[in-house]
Amino acid sequence: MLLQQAVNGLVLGSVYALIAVGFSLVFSVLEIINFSHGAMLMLGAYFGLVMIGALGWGFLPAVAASALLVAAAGAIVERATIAPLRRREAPRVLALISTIGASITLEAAAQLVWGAQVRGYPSPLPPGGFTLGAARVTYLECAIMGIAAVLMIGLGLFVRLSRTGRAIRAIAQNLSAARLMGIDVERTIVTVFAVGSAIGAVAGMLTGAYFSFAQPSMGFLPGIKGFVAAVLGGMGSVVGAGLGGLLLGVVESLGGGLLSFEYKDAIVFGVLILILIVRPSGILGYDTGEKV
Amino acid sequence: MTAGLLVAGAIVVAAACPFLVGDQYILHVLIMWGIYAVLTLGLNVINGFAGQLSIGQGAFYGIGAYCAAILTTTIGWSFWLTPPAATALAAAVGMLVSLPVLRVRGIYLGMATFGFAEIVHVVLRSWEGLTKGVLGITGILPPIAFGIDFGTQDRFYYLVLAAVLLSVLFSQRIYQSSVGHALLAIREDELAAGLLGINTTAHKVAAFGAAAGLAGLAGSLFAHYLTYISPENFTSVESILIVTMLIVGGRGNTLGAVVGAGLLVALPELLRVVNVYRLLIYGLLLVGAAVFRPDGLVGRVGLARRRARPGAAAESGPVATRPENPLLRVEDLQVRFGGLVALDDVSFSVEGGEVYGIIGPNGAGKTTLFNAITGVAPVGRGRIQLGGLDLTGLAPYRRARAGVARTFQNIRAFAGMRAWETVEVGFHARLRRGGLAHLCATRAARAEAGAVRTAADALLRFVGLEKVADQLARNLPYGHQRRLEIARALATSPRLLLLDEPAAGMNESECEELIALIRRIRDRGVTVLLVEHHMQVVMAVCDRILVLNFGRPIAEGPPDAIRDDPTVNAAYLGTEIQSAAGAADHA
Repeated sequence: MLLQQAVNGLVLGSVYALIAVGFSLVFSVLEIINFSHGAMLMLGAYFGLVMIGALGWGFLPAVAASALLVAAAGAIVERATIAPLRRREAPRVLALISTIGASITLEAAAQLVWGAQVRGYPSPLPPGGFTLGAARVTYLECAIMGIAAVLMIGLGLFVRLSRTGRAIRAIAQNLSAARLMGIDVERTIVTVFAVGSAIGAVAGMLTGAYFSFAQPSMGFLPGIKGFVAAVLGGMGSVVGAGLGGLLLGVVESLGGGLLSFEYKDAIVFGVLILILIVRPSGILGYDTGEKV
Repeated sequence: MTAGLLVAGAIVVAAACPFLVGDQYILHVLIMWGIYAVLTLGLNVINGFAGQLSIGQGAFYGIGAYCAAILTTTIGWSFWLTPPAATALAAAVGMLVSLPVLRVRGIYLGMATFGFAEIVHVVLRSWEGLTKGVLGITGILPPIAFGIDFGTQDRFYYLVLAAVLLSVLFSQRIYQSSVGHALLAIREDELAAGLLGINTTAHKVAAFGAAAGLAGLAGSLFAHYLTYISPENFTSVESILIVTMLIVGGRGNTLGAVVGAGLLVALPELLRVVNVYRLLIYGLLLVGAAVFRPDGLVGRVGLARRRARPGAAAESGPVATRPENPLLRVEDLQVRFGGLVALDDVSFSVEGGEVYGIIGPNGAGKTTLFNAITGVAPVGRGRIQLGGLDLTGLAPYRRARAGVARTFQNIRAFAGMRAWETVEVGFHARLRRGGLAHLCATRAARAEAGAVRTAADALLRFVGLEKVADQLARNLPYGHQRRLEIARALATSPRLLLLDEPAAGMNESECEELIALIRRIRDRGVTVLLVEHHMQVVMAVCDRILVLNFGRPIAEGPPDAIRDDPTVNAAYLGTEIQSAAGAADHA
């Protein structure tokens, strides 16, 4: 029972980690919350559904194509709703409103195109799995954890080693100084949104496959949970997003299984508040104290 | 005057609405506008005024609604008791929650409040014994009093209108009183506000309570209006919607809160004509509002009290007090940040009425010394005493109340406040009447507010800013902002004034003015501690000078002695001091 809950938590947590990293990367460069990220999950899930269902593609090609399309969508959202605020030097809280607007717009568009009803989602793998002690793990769950692990490690290496990754870290330290050093800040920011959204699209397809459904509003709750995971782990850190995601998944699953299923979301947010009070900058975040 | 007429006109139109509008549906939309206006006015207190992001207003809305619903359906309380009870309960829960939660800031605070709202939602859904769970509570009695049934829509409308007017009045009283000025100061710069002697925690908790209380009031109205509530009325979507209303209307602006609520209640209804494109257009309009009107439709500073400048009032302000000796005594002070020792073995004392200079190369620890004295930097070892009172370990705002005021090296004027507001807020810690008296504008509080105004005007004249009193601090030129900081610090009636590089970036003639200003401050009986790189200023005004190098004192004495001190010259100063003696400019 305990082991089963822990395994379920890790599966859920892998998906949360993928969502969290999108929030976290954006926050690290711009210090804003991108509320439209949940809509990216939903778009990814639907694009994938179209390719698998209508075009008859396999799951992996569909994941890749959907990620590319959603990367473009993320870049467009940044250009249309966040870049103008930056140019006007508007307070950061405005990004909350403009990205909520973007999110509502995208959900409404999805509803117009694909309808408001719940749709079934295909699983890429046959049902079945294997037992691990007292816990049962399906092939799909293994695939979800595997895909998440590969993507998170890849992204971590990208941020740490690549030229663009170095630019991202420089902007996270000081945007205007990075610009003065000749870094193409605008391009890097768009890249961050594209990459974060692409990974969000994968998370969306995995969510769809795991829960076997898609719906225009499906991104909202996972989006919120992904954000919580990012805060838990410490904003701006890929490793933090991974840890935060797994922690959140396990807390939710164990709390729901052992304490009370009804109160599982209350437990999740209770842990969030506790961690914020004890360590306001998350587990791996560093405190940027005020300089006088 | 015209503003008063506009408000009166708006009230008349609002009161006439049920007669003008026969349509029940439109009346319903107006009632919902009123309920959301109260919610948004509440959020405006904590977010617009105090600058704390709360995405949890929906929780207190729900608490108020359920409080009213449970009290009427289970123990049969009448309508006239439930809204006060709902308001009080929500305010109490709000203050209780804010105590731990307000330790976090910015979006993290937003997230913590959002999390709280989610928890409340889950509790409403799951605690079936109390809330009847997902089924919700039905059969909530409509308000009946004096034989009049307020359950009909056009009568209930007047109840909501009364609640809105009350909330607007409350909000405007906060904005125009000393309490509101303190909240604005916290919004603009919490640290600087604390160093004026404002108890920032108490103010934030009270503001959170006020915001939650108004949400509770709105909730009780909602419950009695619909007579049926369920947890789904109080989801996180509500909390986000209320934040959106405030930002779209205009943060920090009473009118903005009302307008924003109206717009976002009415918009989805108006967009019904375009049916399937409704949400699409709604989303796009939100994006447009954020991008094109970042300060909100009404703007951030609206309904502001513009005041007539009084004529020549008598010069007042701090009067010469009995000099205490020594006024400031620093003993064996050590400050360290991790392994870095920023200050070590620092001991000195300052006589009352003195201008005491602190110089040294960059990184010598001068600003850290100021931070230690004002309570911003942690003291590792040693003691700081002001006129016999041990400051070590006191909170920054308590030190300010004990008589320590300061200015900042990198300017921290309250950018979004007017010059006169900035100076008036400096008097906050010296007010005799409490915040409640000022909110209610009792006779004594009004008299005190008038005295503060006169004194603030005198201080603005003292630093030569009387002509720009109505300007926002952010629109003032650099030199003016520095002088505004000095006036703000003087408003706290300090015994000891700490000036951190006041001459930075000033030209020769501005330096001359500054020298004269510092002398006039000293002549008022205020002891001055001056950190400055500008040797012309230091040599001209200081009675004694302490030289720091690498966090340790290397010399102390009158300007002439320091100028000729070989250790000091060797440390770094030699050529500069010689040239300053010849009045050459070093900039």
